[in-house]
Amino acid sequence: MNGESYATALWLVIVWPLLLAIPALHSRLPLPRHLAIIPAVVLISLPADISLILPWLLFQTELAFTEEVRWLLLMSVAIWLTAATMTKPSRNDPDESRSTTFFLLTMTGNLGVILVTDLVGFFSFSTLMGYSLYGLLIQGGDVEVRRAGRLYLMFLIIADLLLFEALLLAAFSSETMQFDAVRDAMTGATASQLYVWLIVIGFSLKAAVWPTHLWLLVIFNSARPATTLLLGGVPIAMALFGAVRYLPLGQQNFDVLGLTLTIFGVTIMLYAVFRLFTGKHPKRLPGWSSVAITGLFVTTLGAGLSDPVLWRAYEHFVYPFIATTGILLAVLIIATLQSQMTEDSSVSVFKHANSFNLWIKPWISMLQRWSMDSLLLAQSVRHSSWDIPQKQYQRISDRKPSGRFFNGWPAKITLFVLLGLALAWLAV
Amino acid sequence: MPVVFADVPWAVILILLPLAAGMGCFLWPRIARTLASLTIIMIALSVMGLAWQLLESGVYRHTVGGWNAPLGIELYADGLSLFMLAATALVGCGISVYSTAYFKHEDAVRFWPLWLLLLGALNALFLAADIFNLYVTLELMGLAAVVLAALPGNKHALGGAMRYLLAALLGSLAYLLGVALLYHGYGSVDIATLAERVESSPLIWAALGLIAAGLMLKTALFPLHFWLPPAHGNAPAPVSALLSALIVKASFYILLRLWLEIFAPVVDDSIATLLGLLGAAAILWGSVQALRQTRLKLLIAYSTVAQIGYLFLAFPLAIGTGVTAWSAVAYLVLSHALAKSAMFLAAGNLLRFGGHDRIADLDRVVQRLPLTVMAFTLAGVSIMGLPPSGGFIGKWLLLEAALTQGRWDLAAVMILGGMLAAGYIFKVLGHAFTQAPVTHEATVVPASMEWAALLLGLAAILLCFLAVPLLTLLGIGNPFGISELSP
Amino acid sequence: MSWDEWMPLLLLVSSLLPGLLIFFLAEERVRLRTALNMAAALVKLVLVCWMLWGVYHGHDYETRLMLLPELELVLRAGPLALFFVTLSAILWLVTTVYAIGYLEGAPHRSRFFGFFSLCVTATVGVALAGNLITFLLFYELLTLSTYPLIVHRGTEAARRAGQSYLAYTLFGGALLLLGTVWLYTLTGTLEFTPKGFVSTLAETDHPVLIIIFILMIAGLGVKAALVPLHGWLPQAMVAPAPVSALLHAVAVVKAGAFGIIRVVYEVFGVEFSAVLGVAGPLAALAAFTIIYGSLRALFQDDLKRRLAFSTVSQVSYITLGIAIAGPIAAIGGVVHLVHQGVMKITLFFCAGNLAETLGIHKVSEMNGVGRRMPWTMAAFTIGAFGMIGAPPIAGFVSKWYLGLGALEVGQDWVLLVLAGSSLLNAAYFLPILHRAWFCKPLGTWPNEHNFGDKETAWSLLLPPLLTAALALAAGLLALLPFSPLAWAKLIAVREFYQP
Repeated sequence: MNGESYATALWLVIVWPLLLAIPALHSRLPLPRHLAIIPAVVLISLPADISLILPWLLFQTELAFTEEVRWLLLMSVAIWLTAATMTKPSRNDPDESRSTTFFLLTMTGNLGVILVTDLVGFFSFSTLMGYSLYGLLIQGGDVEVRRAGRLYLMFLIIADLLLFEALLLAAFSSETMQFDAVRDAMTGATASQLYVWLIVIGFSLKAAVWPTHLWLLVIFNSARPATTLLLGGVPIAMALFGAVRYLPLGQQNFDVLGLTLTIFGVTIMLYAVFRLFTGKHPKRLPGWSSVAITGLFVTTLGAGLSDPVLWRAYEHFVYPFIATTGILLAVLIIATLQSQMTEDSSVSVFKHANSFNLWIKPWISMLQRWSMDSLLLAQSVRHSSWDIPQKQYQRISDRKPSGRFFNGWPAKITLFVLLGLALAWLAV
Repeated sequence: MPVVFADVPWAVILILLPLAAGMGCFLWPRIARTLASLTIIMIALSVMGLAWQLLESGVYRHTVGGWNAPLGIELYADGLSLFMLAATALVGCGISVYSTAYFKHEDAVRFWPLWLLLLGALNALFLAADIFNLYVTLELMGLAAVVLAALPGNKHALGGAMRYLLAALLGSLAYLLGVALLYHGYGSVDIATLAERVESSPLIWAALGLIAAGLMLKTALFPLHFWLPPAHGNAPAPVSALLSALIVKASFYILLRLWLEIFAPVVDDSIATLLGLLGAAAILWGSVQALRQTRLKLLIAYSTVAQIGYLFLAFPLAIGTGVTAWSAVAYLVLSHALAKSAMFLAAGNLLRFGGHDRIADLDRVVQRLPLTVMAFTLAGVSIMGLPPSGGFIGKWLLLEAALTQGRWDLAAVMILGGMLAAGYIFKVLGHAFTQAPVTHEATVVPASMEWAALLLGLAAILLCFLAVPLLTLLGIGNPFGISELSP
Repeated sequence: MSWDEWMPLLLLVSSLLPGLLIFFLAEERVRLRTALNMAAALVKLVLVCWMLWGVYHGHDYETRLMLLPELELVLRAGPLALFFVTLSAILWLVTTVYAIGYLEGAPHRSRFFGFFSLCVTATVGVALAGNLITFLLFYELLTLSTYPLIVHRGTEAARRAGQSYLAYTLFGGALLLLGTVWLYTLTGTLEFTPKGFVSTLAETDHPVLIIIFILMIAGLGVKAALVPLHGWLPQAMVAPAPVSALLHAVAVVKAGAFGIIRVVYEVFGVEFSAVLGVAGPLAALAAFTIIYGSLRALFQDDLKRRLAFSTVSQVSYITLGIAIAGPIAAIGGVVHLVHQGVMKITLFFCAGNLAETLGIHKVSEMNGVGRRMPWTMAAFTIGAFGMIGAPPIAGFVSKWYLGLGALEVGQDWVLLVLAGSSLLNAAYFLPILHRAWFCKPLGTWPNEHNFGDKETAWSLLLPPLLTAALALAAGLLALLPFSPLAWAKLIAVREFYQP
C-alpha cells in the first residue's frame, strides 16, 4: 500500500456511499447501510497525513486525512454503524428504501465534511448533508415532527445564506480557499469582524444553539430511534467542527464578540442544566444535554476568540472533545431510548439487528446495561435520596454471571476515567 | 449585343406597347388574356432594358416626332422615373397573373383593355417631361381607374367609383388651373425650362397651392382622403391593388417631381412643414381608422391612407437631409406598392374562398389558405416597417433623416405609426391560428392567385437586401438635385 | 467569398432551409419531418463544433453583406457569439427531441416545426450579429417567428397571450430601432467593438447618449424581462412546454440579455457607461427585478407561471452582473447566460412532463408525484437546487462570481440582493420539492397517461435528464478548460477588457 492507493481510499470513502444512494443499486444489495461505511472504517486504520487534490472538481477540492480528523471519523463511523443497525432492512419496503437513500446521502455529506479541507467543498458537502438529513428527520413522523422539520429547514437555509456570504468574504480576501490559508487571510483583514459574526451565527443555527433548539427537542421526543441517534453526531458535531475550521481562532483577538459568546454560552449551559434537573420527562435528557453541550462549546469559542493565546494552548483538545461529545450524546440517546422501552431488558432498541452477526450482540447488550446503570445513577443523584443507590446496587448485583466484571460501579467509573486518559494521551 | 440594347427606345415601347395591346384586347376579346400576359412580360423586359440604358448612358431624353421643347413632347427618364416604372412593372406582373384567374369572361373582356390602357397612361406619366403631358396622362389614368373601380357593377362599387370620379375630376381641374397659371406666368410647360425661369412670386405661390391641392386630393392625403376607402374597399381585388399601389403613387410622383424641379428652390419651408403635418395626421388617423374596421378590404384601404402619410413626411425632412429623405420616399413607394398589392390580392383570395371579408369571421377561412396568409404576413411586415423588408429600409432612412435634424416629433409619429400598423395587421393575423372548423363547402382558390400574392409579398421582403443596387439606380440623373449620388 | 466567410451564413441556413421545407410537408409525413428536424439540429451542431475548432486555431469567421450604402450586415463568430450559439445549438437539439415526443398526435405539427426552425435561425442570427443593425434585424425576426409558436394551441387564452406578447415586443423593438438610428446619426458606425465606440463623442452629446442608452435598454429589456416590461412572459406560458422551455428559457429571454451585454460592453463600453452614470440605475433596476420576480413567484399556484416569474428574476442576474461593471461580475453575468439556460430548461421540461403524463398544471396537484415520476422529479430537484444556489450545481458558480465581483468593485449591497433572492428562491422551490417527495398523493392524477412500466416516454424523459446532468457538470467541473466558466473568463478577457 502506498500513497496512491491511500488517496484512492480517501475519495472512495465519499464516492462509495454516494453511489449506493441510487435506489436501483441499494435495493439489490444486502445491508447497504453497513456496506457504505466500510471504506471509512478502512481509512481510520490507515496512517495519517493522506491528502488528495482534485483541481478539476468544483473550485479545486482537497481532501485530507490527518490525526485530528481521525477522531471525528471514528466518532462518525461509530454513530453511523449503530444507526444502521437500529433500522429495518429496506429490501422490500419503498418507504424504507427512500429512507436508505437519504441515510446514505447524509452519510456521504458527513464524511465529505470531515475530510475536505477547502471552504467551498465543505460548504457543498454540508449542504448535501443538511438537506438529506431533513429527509431522514421527517421519515415516518407525525405532524409535530414535520413542523420541527420545517423549522430545521428554515434555520438551515438562513445558516447557509450567512455562510455563503462569509465564503464570499473569504474568497475576496484570500488567495486560495484552503482552510489554513483562509484563516491566515482573515486574520487582520478588514472584513474579519463581519466574517466571524457570520460564521458564528451561521454555525450556531446549524448546531441548534439556544434559542434555535426547539426543533431538536421535538425530534428527540418524537422521531425514529435511528434518527435521534444521528442528531448528536451529524448536525451538532459537524457544526461545531465547522466553526472551529472556519474561524481564525488563536490568531486574532475579538474582544467584544468573544466576551458576548462566553457570557451567552455560560447562560445557556446554566439554563440547560436547570431544565435538565427540573424537568419531569426522562425523555428530555438527551435534548437538554445537547443544549448544554452546545452552550459549553459556545463558551469555549468565546474564550478562544477573546484570548488567542489560551486557545493555542488548548487547541489540540478540540477535535477529540468534539468526537467525545458526539459519542457521549449517542450513548445518552441510546440509554434514554432503552429506558423508554419496557422494563424487560430482552426488548432492545436493536430489535432490528436480528439479521446481524451474532458476535456483536454481547457488546450491544453490555452497552445497554452500562447505559441503564448510568441512567439509574443519574436519576438517583437527581432525587437525592441515598437509599435508592442501595436498591440499584442490589439489583445490579443480582444479574447473570456473564458480564459480571462490568457489574460493579467502581469498575465502571474506572473504565470511564481510563478511556478519558487514553483519549487525552492520543490527542497529545 | 449590349450596344444594340442601348439603342432601342425602351421608353417609347413602354408607352406605345400597352396602348396598342389595349386596343388589341378590345378588338379581339378572345385572345385578350394571352395578349395581356405577353404585353406585361414585354413591359417588364423593357423596364430592364431601360435600366440598362440608364446605367450605360445616364439620363435618357427622347423627343417624340423630332419636335423639341417647348413645342413638342419630350420623354425624360432618370433614376426616379425608373423606380416608378419598375414598381409599375412588378406590380403589373403580379396583378396580371392574378387577374387571369380572377375574372370571369364577361368581366375580363372589360378588364384587360382598361388595365392595359391604364398601364400605358402610367408609363407615360412617369416618362413625361412637361406639365401638360402630366395632366393628360393623369386624366387618362384617372378615368381608366374609375371605370375599373366600377367594374363589379353593384351598388357599393358604383358609389365608390362615383365618389372617386368626383375627387379625380376636382383634383385634375385644380391641377390644370395651376398648369395654366404657370404657363401664363412663364410661357412654357416644359419642366426643365420652367425650372430655370421660376422665381418667388405670388403667382408661383398660387400655382403651387392649386397644384398641391389637386394632387393632394388625388393622392388622398388627409384630410382629402374621404373618397379612397369606399373606392378601394369595394373594387375587385386586382383593381384595389392597382389603385392603392400605383394610382395614388402616380399623383404623388407628379407632386414630387414638380416640387423637386420647380417649387422647392423658390418657396420657403412653410409649405413643406404643412405637408409634413398633414402627413403625420394621415399616419395617425389612417392607422386608428384601420384598427376600427370590421371589413378586411376597408382596413387595407385605410392602411393605404396611413402609408401615404409617410411619403409626405419627407417634405419637411428634406430641408436638412435631402438625399436620405427622398431615397426613403422612393424606397417606401416601391415597397408599399409591392406590399399593398400583395395585401389586396390576399384579401381577394380570402373573399373568394369565404364569400365575405368580415375580419372576425375570417378564422374559418384563413386556416385553409396558408399561402395567402403567408403573403399577407410578408406584406404586413413591410407595412409595419419591421426588418427584413423594404419598408424597414425606408423607415430607417426616414428616421435617420428625422433624427439628424432633431425632428423628434416626426420620429415619434413614425414609431407610433409602426405600432398602430402592427395593431391592425395582427388583428387580422391573430385569427390565423385560432381553432375553427370550416362550416361550409368553400370555393377553391386557384394556385396562381395564391402564388401571385405570395410572390409580391416576397418581393417586398427581398427589397431589404437590394438597397444598395436600387439606390444606385435611383441616383441616376441626380433627381434629387444633390451633388453626391449616394445618400 | 472564401470558406471562412460562408460559415456564419451556412449556420443560419442550416435551420432556415429545413424550416421552410417543413412548412410544405403534409401533416401525416411524420417520419420525414422528424428526420428533417433531427438532421438539421445535428448539422447545426456539427457546424458549430467546426467553428469552435476553427476559432480555437485562429480562424476568423465573418460574413459581410451590403445593406445600405454605408451600413453592412455583419455576421461574426467571436467568443461571445459562439458562446451563445453553442448554447442554442445544443439546447435546440435537445428540445427538438422533446418537442417530437411532446406534440405526438397534436395538430399543425408541420407549422409548429417550421416556425420552430425559423426561431432558432433568428436566435443564431442574434448571436452572430456583428453590429447593431444586424442584431436589430434578427431581433425583430425572432419576435415574428415566436408569435406563431405562442398562439399555436389556438385557444382564446393563447390568442390573447400572443397579442400581449406582440404589444410588448414590438414596442420594445420600436424603441430599439429609434435608439439605433439615433446612435447611427451621431456616430456613423454601428459595429460592436470592445470597449464601445461611443466614448469618442463630445461632452455635449452626453445627455443625448443617456437617452439613447435608456431607449436601447428599454427595447432590449422587454425581451430580457426587466420590470416593468416583463408582463408578456407569464402570459406566454400558455404555449406548449417545448416552446416555453426553449424560447422563454433560452432563446427570447437570453436574446434580450445578450443584447444588453452587447450594448453595455461593445457599444457604450462599461467604463463609459459608468461615466454617463447609467450603469448604477441599470444595476438597481436589475436588482429590483430580481426581488420582484421572486416575490411574484411565491404567490403562483400554476407551475409554469411560477417558473416564468423565476425566469424574470434569474435573467436579471445577467443584467446585474453586467451593470456592476467589474471583470469578475461580468464573468458571473455572462456565465449565468448558459447556467440559467440549462437549469431553467430542465425545470420547464419537467413541468411539461408532469402536464403531459399526469395532467398536472398546479403546484397544489403535485403531492407525492416523486413516487410516480422519480427521474423527472430528480431532474427537477437538481434544477431547483441550482436555482437556489446550492453547490455544486451551476447556479452556485454564477452566484459566486457575481458576489465576488460585487465585492471587487465595492458594491456590497449586491450581496444582500443575492442573499434575499436565494432565500426567496428557496421559499418557492422547496415547497414544490417537499410536496413532490414528502407528501402523499391526493388521489388520482388529473389526467393520467400510461407509458407501460416506465414513468413517461423516452423522448420526454431523456432531455431533462441530459440538461440536469449538464447543469451538474457545469458546476462540478467548472474549472475544466472547456467549461462555460472558462469560456466566460475568456470572453471577459478578450472581448470586454482588451488592453
